[in-house]
Amino acid sequence: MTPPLSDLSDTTLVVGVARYRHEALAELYRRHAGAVFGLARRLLGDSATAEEVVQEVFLRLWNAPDRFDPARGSLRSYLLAQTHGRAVDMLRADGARRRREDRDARNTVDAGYDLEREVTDLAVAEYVRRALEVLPDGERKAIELAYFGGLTYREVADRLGEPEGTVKSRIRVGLKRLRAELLAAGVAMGEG
Amino acid sequence: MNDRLDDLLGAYALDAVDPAERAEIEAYLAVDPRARAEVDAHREVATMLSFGGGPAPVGLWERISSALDADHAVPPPLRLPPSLRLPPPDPALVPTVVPVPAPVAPVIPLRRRPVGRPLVGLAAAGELAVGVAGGLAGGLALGRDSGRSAVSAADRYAAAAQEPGARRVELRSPAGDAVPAVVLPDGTGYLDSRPLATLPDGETYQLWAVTTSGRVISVGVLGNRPGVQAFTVGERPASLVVTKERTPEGVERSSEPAAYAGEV
Repeated sequence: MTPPLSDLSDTTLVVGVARYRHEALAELYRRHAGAVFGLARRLLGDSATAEEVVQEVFLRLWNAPDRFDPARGSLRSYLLAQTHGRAVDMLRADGARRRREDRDARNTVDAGYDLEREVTDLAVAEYVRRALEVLPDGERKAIELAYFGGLTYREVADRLGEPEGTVKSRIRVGLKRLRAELLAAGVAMGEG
Repeated sequence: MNDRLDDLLGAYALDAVDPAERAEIEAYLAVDPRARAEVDAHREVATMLSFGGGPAPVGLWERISSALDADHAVPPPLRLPPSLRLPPPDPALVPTVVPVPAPVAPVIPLRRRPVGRPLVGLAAAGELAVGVAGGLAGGLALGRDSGRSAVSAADRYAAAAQEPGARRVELRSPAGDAVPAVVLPDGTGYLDSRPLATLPDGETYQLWAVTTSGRVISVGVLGNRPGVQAFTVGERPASLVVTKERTPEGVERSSEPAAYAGEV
């Protein structure tokens, strides 16, 4: 008897996507679309544009599932990297950063959201918050401006009034330090 | 190793470099696996920063779903991620044709048994004859999955089980212990031999396929501490059998009873 889709790993579902199975993509959407939309919306500040990014990311997974290599990391990491890259490109292309400054009121409705994963997400978010607190201010600000502000490291350096080399190092060292903190706290990474 | 580009790996992972730097770093990552692994690690951390996104908007899935391809009447070629593709059978494992001198040792005709009942006494009437007919080459894919790969044994097995036409098989011992396998219509498949007990050094498990015409061919040796292994037989076999052999290289002709057996 075939196990239910909800029991299958992300990697197994990607194989299903490779076989053109809509239900496999639907299950992956159920698991990850919230995180994808949340990141896109946080960067772009606009729900409609964020939805476009979600659509692009999942259609790209449908059209090219072989681009995801499970040996290199989790599917969520892959999807969020795609999301972030696309959102940053849009930010830089048409000044959408200005619109992000005037955020919409949240207007999301629960649509089959994965409650179990939401609880896990909130627990992990708490670990992340604590790990961020451990970072020196300079590292934390550099990472936040780069990742959530969509700025290049040169723009971050300009914003903070720091040398570019210092900002590059802080981003790299800060990410390594965060990883060490999260691993020490028992947060699993790279699993799908 | 390139210190200048290494300094940019964190910024690159956060999409915080300009286009020219991005292109330069991507060329670097293509040739430096250490740098690639660092970027992957940074991106996993960035994933953690994004947790707690909340639900996606209503109606968005319907728009995505309507943009997908229509169902294919004939499935197009499978688009698998590289690390999930079954490797081609190693020619070194393909048994060569063994000339059988007269008098010919009889190939034991296999009586079909209900699924799940062990094929005990397979060798009781004689030896397992090993031979290869044209197109019935078998082989085991090297690279036993020890479970340390990011692509877990469960993923590989589960992926194969999702294939259309896949058949789940349970090879059972006389005591009723089970070793699962998945066999695909083209004769490829996975054997999850992790339930097998470790054998002493110098011994090995060996996998055999019994064809629909009753010929028995050696698919390959599993080792004394097997895991999940891919295998290939030229066509879907009628049965699979595992024996315990007293030499690490396996044997061409087995006089051992079937330790585990199951019909496909």
